[in-house]
Amino acid sequence: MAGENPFHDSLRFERKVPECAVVIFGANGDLTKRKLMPALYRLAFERRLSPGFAVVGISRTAMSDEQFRDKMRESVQKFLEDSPFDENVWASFAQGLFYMAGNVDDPKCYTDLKQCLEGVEKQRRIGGNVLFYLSTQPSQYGPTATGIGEVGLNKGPGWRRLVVEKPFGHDLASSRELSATLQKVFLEEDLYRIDHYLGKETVQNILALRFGNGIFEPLWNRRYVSHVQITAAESIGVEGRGAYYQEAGALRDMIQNHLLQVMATVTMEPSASFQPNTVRDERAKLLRSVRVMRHDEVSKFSVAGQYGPARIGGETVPGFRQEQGVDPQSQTDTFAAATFFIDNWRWAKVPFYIRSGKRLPKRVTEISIQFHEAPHAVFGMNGLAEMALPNLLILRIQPEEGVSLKFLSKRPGTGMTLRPVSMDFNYGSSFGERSPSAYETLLLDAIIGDATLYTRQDMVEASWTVVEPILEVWQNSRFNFPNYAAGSWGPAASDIMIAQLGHVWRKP
Amino acid sequence: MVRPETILKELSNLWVDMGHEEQQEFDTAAAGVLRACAMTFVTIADESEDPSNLGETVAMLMKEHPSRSVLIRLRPTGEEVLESRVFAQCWMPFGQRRQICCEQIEITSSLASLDDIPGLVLPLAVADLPVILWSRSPRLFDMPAFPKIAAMCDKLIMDTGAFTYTEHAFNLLSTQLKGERLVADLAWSRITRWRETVAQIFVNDECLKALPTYSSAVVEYGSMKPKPEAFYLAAWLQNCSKKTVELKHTDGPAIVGVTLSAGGSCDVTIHSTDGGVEVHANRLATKTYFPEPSDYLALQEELSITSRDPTFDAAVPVALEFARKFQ
Repeated sequence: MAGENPFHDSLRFERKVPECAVVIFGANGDLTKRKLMPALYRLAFERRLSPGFAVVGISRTAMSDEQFRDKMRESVQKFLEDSPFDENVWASFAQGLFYMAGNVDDPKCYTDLKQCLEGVEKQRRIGGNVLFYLSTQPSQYGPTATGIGEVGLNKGPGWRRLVVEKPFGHDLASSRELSATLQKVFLEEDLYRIDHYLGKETVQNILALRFGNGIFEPLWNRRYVSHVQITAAESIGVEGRGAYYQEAGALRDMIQNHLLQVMATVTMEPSASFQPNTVRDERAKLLRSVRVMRHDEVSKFSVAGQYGPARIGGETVPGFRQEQGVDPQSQTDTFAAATFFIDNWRWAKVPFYIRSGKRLPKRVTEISIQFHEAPHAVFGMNGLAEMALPNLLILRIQPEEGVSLKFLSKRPGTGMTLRPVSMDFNYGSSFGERSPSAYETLLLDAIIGDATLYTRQDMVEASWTVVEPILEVWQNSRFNFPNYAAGSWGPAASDIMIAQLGHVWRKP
Repeated sequence: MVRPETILKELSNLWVDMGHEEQQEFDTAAAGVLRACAMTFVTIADESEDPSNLGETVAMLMKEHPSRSVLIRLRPTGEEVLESRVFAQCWMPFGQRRQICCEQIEITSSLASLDDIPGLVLPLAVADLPVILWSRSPRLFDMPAFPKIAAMCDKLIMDTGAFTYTEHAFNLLSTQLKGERLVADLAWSRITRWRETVAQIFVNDECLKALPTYSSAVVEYGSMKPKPEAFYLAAWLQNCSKKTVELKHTDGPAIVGVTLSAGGSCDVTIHSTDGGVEVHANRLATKTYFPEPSDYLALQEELSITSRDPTFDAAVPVALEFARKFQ
């Protein structure tokens, strides 16, 4: 390093990134087109990228640099959200786009890539910095990382980092195996396991709410919190991803990674600083504190569901088993709910209910923290019905990001009648500025070398450990699917699960 | 005669009316009006200014910086005039059922009634939130009532670009900077994109290492006399690079370009083009988009800054030195 940049103004400038090349394996895939390239273009538009920034796309399809640029331009124009497309910025950005056809199973791909990067270095002066992004089938993660290592591309004059998308294995053993393969090539600190939920502004805002304010933390424990509900609902079905989803299911696809990470963010202890490893240490510690169910507890504390056909809005929607590419006898969970407990002083005996599903009534992700009721009904019968309505703090992740606090207030009039009211903070309206997409945030972080919002292997292992008993029991069960109609809030068993402890699901 | 309590009562009635209208429309407690406020934003402008332009700027700012807005329009008459009206600025966020509204108070005051402004505005300020004063009228700064008006705010925003004499504007600004209150200049905010572009080049280690070897630094300006923006850019470059910066006239906008010469691969030229700049640095050429400079963008940036800006504070005396050379 040559010292501090005297021109930098942290008060007014956004974080700047060093020159580098992002090598995308699977450059012809959906993720590249829909998320990665629009995010990189947007960073260029926001003047965040250095002049020497380059992207090298790799996939099997034969294409010239020019054809790749045209294709990416089309994708960016199509998938760019809340942002204008500027011809000049694109022309400048596109100069740094390169393409290489290659099969990741063929060693030649990596020698070609080495040569390609040498050319890019000469043309763009990337300072030897390379971020490898695996946007491929998960089965190719290991071989690709090995291929990179075999030609020595994992080391160089600058930094070398590897970004992998979920799933990080399909169970604890395979996750460890994958990790061991990746760690043979890259140091753990250079491995960036992306969980795009953690890149969402509102998930990051949970940390701001908890640790930037003094008023919430004293209430944030078993003494005041009755239980917590985390809901991630999607109104759509599998939308052409039937074949993939059939292998994954809701528990693996959402709860094992995204929602357990969200739960960890809500419940972790404050970290000493906002350094990548201090925050991740706390998240990991929390995940290790989640009680692992015994096999005989699984049926009591978890529920699997699968949607059947229904009519929604005058239209017939197919059940999961009728979706394209799905086995008509599929036992895949399109809905999963579980009750978790965190075995530490702060959260002992507080139930955490997590549910996620497809074809639920609406698309919503939120965390609802329900506080204990007032200990004594001062207002007698007038307020009695309402007294059963507890205070709720709702952290809305999507679509209307924000925070709401529900409490009781006196109804206007001479009598002492109470009614629930809501105090809302709406993220979008309070900060009308455009929020960066999760991929913009996470790509920028990876290029800068800030892993705070990335998942570490110990966190991955801890969350697999939590869900593995459920997976094992479910794999050996024969469910009577479908057990919920598309457009409903999931199977009745999910209501029964939560009712065991005297609680009811919120209807977000 | 205008009384603060009357205005507050009118505001209160306004919210009640809006709440009723919304409830009648949706017949549900889930709808209704959401009230948002992060500051009291006081704007002082000459009455001759186009109120619709001003109103549009304030309304656009409301979305990012919801505030109780007080617009004071100065009428250039000697007789005492003080009038007010209240209204709400509302918008419906896309896909939502609840309107978000902010309060606006418009006060018309003659120059003779300026002394009454602080007594009227202070009771209207929202408790516990900062009061930001955007003074668009250069003549206000020279009026005897100005210190009292400025004293009511936590942050004063001026625009040296609106003054006829830049040196005079910088002198006034320097005086304000000596106080405790936060002070901002929109002319400084307008060069953020330029500064950011220069800073980005020096993220590169090679260019950063070459910084001591730069032999010349030039800021080109397009107007007959340099505008405050050009002075600021030169001052900032000089402070950061520790090199003497030259101001050079060329045809074009307020700032035409920046050149830093090291006699090698790290030569830097940034030239304005349509809608942005072209950057040549480290043997690479790139085009960067610059949004059209506007009061809205400059204010949006300034309203986000809630602490003293040491880079700006350091640039002002150097910019003043540059301005003196051009008088």
